[in-house]
Amino acid sequence: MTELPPLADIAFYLLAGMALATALAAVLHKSLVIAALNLVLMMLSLAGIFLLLAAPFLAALQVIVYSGAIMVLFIFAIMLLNAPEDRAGHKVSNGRKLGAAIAGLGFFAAIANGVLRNPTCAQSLRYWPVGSDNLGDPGVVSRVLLEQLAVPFEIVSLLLTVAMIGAVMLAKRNLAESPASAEPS
Amino acid sequence: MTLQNLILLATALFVIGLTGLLIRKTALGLFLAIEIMFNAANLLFVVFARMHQQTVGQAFVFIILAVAAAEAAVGISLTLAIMRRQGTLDIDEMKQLKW
Repeated sequence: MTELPPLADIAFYLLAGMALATALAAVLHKSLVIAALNLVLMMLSLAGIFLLLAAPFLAALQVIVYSGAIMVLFIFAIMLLNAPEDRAGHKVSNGRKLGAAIAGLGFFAAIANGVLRNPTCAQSLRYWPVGSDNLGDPGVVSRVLLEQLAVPFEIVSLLLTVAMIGAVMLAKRNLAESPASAEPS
Repeated sequence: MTLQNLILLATALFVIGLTGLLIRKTALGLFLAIEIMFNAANLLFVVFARMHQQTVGQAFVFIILAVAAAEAAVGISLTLAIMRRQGTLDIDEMKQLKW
């Protein structure tokens, strides 16, 4: 008698496959706009996996901050810099591609070897809503953030302010010289 | 959903990002690859937070998210400044700092 896998299992494998496929497309596609849109899809599928892993707050943040704010910034920059195509892409030598593939596969093989041999890694995790764990609830996460991790939290807010000022300074025109007279020497 | 599958998924995403970092030649393409690697690390944090039933891992992801946003903002404005100055986004032509 065949038994259908539970619905959550199907959802997990679907989301994982989608994340892998869209990540590959984001890395390999020649057009940067399409690559960025694929990256948005990858982040959305990761948000789904976060939900299955009892992290509803992070899933919402992933959608709002990552696939919302950061990717809009990227697409904006791609359009603004008029770089929709990876024009230099065809100049990538085959040796470089081969080296990248070997490095990636070697890295993956090394980690997969360790993970597959470790019996601790064979345990299976329950899907989130089943156990009704509240470890990812916004209230619980905020409590940890503002009590246990108060100092890193404040440092991050400082970092964001500095990054904002730095971004404005860097992107400002006529910082030291007019752009027309700037000769790369 | 075994721990194994999740770790392998995160590793695969990280490796895809790493490969993209090595084969892209446009500065903006490199940023896209770096975002994939950030996401792989975030996924691992959430997986281990779930495994150990600790919320701290998820709080860390929050901080990584903020750092990623800062990185994207500064990185893109740097790219903009370089584009203005040199008129190129090809990373092989950005070698002013090379001795």
